[in-house]
Amino acid sequence: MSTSSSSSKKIVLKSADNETFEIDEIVALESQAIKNMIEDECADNVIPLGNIDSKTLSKIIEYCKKHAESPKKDDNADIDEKAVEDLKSFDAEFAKVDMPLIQDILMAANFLNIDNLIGLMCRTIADRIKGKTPEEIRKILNINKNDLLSPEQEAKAREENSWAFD
Amino acid sequence: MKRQKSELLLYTIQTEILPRLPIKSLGRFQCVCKQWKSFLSSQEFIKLHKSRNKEKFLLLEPSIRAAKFHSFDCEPHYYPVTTLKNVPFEVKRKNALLLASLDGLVCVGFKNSRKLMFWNPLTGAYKYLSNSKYHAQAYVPYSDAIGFYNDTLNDCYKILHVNRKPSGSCMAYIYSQRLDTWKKIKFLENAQRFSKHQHWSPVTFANGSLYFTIQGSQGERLTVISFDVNSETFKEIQCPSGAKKCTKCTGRLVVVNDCIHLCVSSGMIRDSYWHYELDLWRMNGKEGGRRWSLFP
Repeated sequence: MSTSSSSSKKIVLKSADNETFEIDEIVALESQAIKNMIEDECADNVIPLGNIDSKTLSKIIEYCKKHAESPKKDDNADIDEKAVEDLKSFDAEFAKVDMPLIQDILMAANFLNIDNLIGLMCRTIADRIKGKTPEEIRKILNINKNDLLSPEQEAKAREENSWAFD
Repeated sequence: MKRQKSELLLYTIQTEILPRLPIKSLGRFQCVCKQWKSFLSSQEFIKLHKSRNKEKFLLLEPSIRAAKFHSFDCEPHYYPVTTLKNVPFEVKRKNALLLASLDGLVCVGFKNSRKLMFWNPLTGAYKYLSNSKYHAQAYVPYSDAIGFYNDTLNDCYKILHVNRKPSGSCMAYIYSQRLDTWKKIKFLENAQRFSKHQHWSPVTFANGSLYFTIQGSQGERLTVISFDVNSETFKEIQCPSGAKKCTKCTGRLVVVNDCIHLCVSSGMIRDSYWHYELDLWRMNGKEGGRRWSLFP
């Protein structure tokens, strides 16, 4: 799969499963990590991303394209409200994916240093886990079974925090 | 690789996501696993959570009328939830006054027993502040000034209590939650001149100092007093010059952008009518004031 448009400078990203994505440089610059690589001139024509699979990477490119097209907040004090609303509803739609993919996107956004996307993923996870019970949390986040409290410790912790369970 | 990734993910969840969650969720999540239990109880986490939740307010009525209170939960973002809960301690009719609140803790004063208490309305935990020989003067309702602050140097909640004796003299005390003791400190020199000043405002915290106003019963002689929580010293602050001239004025202290402001409503008789003006003054540095804006 490749994405290309105008005659501007192109960057090629290569995923862990060896798929390549050709994108405009302006889109790639949404990632602070790639921006640094380009500025330090240590980016080859193809940037290998050995820890990001193609499914996650294509989602990230979708996000960066949309955000690169939208007017930036610090560019102009009176950006039109429609653009802001448009971006908000894009973000809301973008986050409607399953939990494993959200976690993969969060990790990749962390690696690529895309601040807005890290924030969006953190807000999404926070919204999804806040009403849940401890059992549900363990399942959703795949908590290590060796780290669970003993039945006595758990009973004590529930007793101490009984106000949080009603 | 996979193991490293999941560890990094859990670390990110702890430091970036847990601090965004409402307190009630965090109470439940103490039971998720050992690592979360110790992390959620750590000072590091408490600081992270506080820095993310600065803008939340606890709204309180001035007194608890019966043995029930309304809690107003603003945490679910879509709609606020009001619930009626029982007060965990004994309250007789309008006996308990809510004096100050900080970080979800409330300082309660009792009219009859003249005791003070820390209360956490969310968890239901409460504790009467111990009396000691240094704090012989119990709290006097509607007369004394109570300030509630966090001593960040010692990481400890403290109460400033300015007690006014009928003779006109004032005594100041500080309670330390960590040590559970009171100590006496020096109030301003010749504090007797405040004896006729009937109205002491609630205490406001900003930038390492507590502030309150003292005013005569007829609205005259508005005075602002600051208390530096590190040096534990009081200072009288010159009021804005305009605020002194008026015949009748009322001052309110408010915090805007971490900066203390004095909102003064002043009235004077002109053409046999009372005319009122509202001025907002920003405190510049720790001394004096500067006119900030005027609403005619």
